[in-house]
Amino acid sequence: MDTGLAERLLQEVRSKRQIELDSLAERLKVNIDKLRGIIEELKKKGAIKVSVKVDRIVLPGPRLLSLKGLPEIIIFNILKDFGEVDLDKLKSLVASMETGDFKAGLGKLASQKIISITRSDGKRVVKLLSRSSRYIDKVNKMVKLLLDNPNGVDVAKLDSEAKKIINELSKRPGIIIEKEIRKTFVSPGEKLEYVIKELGEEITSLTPEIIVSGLWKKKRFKEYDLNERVFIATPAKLHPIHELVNEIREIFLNMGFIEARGPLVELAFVNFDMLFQPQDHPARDMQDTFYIKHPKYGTIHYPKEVVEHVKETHESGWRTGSTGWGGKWSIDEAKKLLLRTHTTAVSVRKVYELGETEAKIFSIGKVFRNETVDYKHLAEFMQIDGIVISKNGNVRELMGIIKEFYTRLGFKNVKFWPSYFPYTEPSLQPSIYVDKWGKWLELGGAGIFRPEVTYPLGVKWPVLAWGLGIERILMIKYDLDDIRIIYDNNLRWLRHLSIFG
Amino acid sequence: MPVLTLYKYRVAELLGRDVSVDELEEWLPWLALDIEDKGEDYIKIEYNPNRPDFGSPPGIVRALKGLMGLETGLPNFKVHDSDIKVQVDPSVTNIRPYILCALVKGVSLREDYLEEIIEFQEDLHMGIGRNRRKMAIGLHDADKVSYPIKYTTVDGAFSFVPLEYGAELSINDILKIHPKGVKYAFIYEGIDKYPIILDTNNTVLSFPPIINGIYTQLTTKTKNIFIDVTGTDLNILKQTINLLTTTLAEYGGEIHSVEVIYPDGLTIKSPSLEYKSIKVSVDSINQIIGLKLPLETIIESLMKSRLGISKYSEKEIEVLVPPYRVDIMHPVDIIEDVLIGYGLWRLEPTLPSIPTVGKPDEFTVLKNKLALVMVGLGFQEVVNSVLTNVDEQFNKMNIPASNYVEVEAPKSRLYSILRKWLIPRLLTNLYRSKEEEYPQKIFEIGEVVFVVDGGVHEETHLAAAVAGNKQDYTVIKSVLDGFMEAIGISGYRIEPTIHSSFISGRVGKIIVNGIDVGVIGELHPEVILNFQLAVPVSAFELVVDRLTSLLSKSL
Repeated sequence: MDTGLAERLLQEVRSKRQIELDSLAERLKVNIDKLRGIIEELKKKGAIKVSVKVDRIVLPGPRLLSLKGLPEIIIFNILKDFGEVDLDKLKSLVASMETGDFKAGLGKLASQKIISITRSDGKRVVKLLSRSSRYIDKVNKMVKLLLDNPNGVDVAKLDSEAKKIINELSKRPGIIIEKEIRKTFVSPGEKLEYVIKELGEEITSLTPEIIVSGLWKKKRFKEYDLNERVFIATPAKLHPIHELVNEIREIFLNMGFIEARGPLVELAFVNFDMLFQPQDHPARDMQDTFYIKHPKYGTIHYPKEVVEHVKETHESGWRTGSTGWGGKWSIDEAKKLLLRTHTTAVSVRKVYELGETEAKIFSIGKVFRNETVDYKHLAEFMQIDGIVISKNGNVRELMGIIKEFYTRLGFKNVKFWPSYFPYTEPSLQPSIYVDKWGKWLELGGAGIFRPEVTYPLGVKWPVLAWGLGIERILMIKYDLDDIRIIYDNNLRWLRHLSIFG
Repeated sequence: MPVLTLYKYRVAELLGRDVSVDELEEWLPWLALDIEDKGEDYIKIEYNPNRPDFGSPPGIVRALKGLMGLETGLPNFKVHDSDIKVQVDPSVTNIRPYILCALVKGVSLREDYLEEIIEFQEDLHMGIGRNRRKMAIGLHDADKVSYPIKYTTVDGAFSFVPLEYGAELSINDILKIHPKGVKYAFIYEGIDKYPIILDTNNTVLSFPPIINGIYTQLTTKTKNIFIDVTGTDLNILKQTINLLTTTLAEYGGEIHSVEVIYPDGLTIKSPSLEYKSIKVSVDSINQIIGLKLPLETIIESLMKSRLGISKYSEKEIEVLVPPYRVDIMHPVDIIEDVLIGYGLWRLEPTLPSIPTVGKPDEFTVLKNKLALVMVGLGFQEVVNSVLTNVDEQFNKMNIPASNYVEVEAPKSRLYSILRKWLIPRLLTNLYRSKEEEYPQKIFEIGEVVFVVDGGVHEETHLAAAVAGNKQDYTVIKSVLDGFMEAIGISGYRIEPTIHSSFISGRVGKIIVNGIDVGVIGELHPEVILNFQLAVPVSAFELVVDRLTSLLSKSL
């Protein structure tokens, strides 16, 4: 659609209220056919209404035009000069008039009692009876009207008397011609103003048509309120804990660590016994650890001598130089299946697999504790565990790795205090200073695996080990005061979360 | 972990000089003590279970003096002999076989001292006593006791006046109505003879490990304390009697030994309070710490940790360990004490020198790639717990419960089994997000666990769900098509199947190369209503482990 033309058209319709198509075309100076398509579209948009009117018009017929009047009027006007005249003489006075017309004219005058025709001496005499006639006036007026309007006279605009005359005249051949004319009118529609605005000076929404037609060159773009409140498009994202896990993975991979994985359902042997956790240690209680109800026991796939050395180490220290825990070590207790309580289970598996090989290993995964869930505690959470197997490994290197890790995560202040774990000696507790909380936060444990852990697995080298919580870092990042929010997966939280915290 | 409140005045009294709470807060963590809380005149600490000797203020200050350099090296304990004997009856052998006793004379029991000692006793019960099962302590006013003493058994009808009651009760009644009896009755389940400690007049000292008799109760007037320790592990009993007597000695007591005569003729005199001797190589100390400390620094550090040195050379140090240090079981424990005495704060962190090359886990890399495809498809990732319950996994899903892995004694019914599939919790996630804009699209990649052939099987699944008006099968199918195309799997088909979680005729197995890799369908209205949702939900769940083998790896 030619929007410029459409707009001008609508402006016309607005000022004229109703306008006939032809005059519209004339005013817009366009071909009427070019208008039809636009009119159809604007009608659809509700900008305009279109109505069609049928007009009956009359035009002077060929006889009227050649006589320049009606015969009775011509005769009447002659008779006014003579008063009384011989018929033949009268006829010669209107020689140009055809006989039929002459007769009809006389007949009309006679029937209106305007003239009389008498016979005397074998001659017919025409006598004017009245010098004025209503009939003549009326007809005369009509004839004048017709002759003054060669394009026709609208019947609808005439009074009832005139209409009667037209009806009479139409019965007489050649006097008038009747015609029907269809006229198209355009008037304002309900949405006129809206569409005018739409087509107006400014482009509101840029459409393919506007781009292709080049219309945009002629118009300005409507300026938007750039800070208008709009519907927020929320991107799909990884879960924030996944983002953090990936960040941590990247840090350790960049530090030259190999990523490891292990099962969630673990043998007590791996989770506890290989880590020199005494079998009557409170942490091994059902109150703290999730044991599997069925199947209750798993198979220990480690060689017999490994199992035997673990047993002896627990009972009496074996060849580790330790006194051991004393008491009897039970293989049934070790065969129990449980949900791993720490990812250190993965680390200790790796110590056995790798033996005395220089290696740096890390693993990240879920761990489980039979805890009552509250704003601070979860029964299932994530841990990052790492080990360094190295002939010359020492406490300073252990501190160095952990410090480097936290520094890369953005915590500049890292401190180490002595601590205790049954499977490490020395044991350290790393803490980070959280600027926005203004306090130190403990996030896990670290140490060097005890000889009681590594010797039965064939490793006499120091194995640096640490296990750190992850959720608390997320809580710092997002200022969470309830740890449960993380795994609630409420879309309000997830959709509107910033990836940078 | 056990908790202890240290009052400023008390620490000052023990330290022999004034001290501020801030000073304590600065020093105590270097002894591996956690600061729990602090106030104007106190500091609350948590100590590790390997150091039961930290269970009393004198025990902590003893170590603190060393670290501060106020008093270093071995504390001195002298044991005097007494002529007190304890006779053990053979009937105890199968119930609670061991007893050790000691006498501490000349203690002045101020009210605060008495409280400290009772608290220390309770911590020992919980810790190395394993909630009194393995070991329990009785402390008595020695002057109320007539010697010798018998450790024997009685039946349930035997009665005496227990502490914390004020009237005579039979043993049967104690186990039923006395607060301590009710608490520890589990120890004697299925037993009809009960151990008892009687003096020569048959006065009840103790019904171990439940409650003492009232007659020998400790009061602030008590000067001399008789200690009984009973239990099932003689080594723990020895540790306990050492801990108790050395601690009471810090209250000014003089330690006297008591002889216990066992039915087989074995006689044990306790406490012995011998120093354990451990040899540690100087190299191993420096290797573990990562420094080259001169010998005198090592010795000084050991002394600050209140250890003694009996012999030393450039290569080896022979260390003497006081009897209360029950945590020392290996030379490596001595190395830690060097570190603590030296001061951990003095250590400069350094990075390991070994050359290694990092390498990600392949499966984790794959999972990350799959997750990014799902995010690209407009799906928000969720991460849910593996722990769940039968109701969510099966009942609400309109399917029979089968092959699931159950855990023992969960604290909450909501976490009683492990998830077998992911879709149920996704529906719970949708329920929790009911008020949010639809359509909702979520996915999860995570481990599931179930029983196969009597064993536990773990695998990784990927599940995706769409919820909202018009989110029907065709929607999720187009997602699956897009996902499969993105990971390069073509030519898979959906084989109609019966699955009552889904609308019949709108559920199928996902078959790739003849392998069943998952399920796709439109959730049944009943299931939708079970989760209190009110919009159509369609979903699929894939076994990632099975997809892995199908993914092209050729370059």
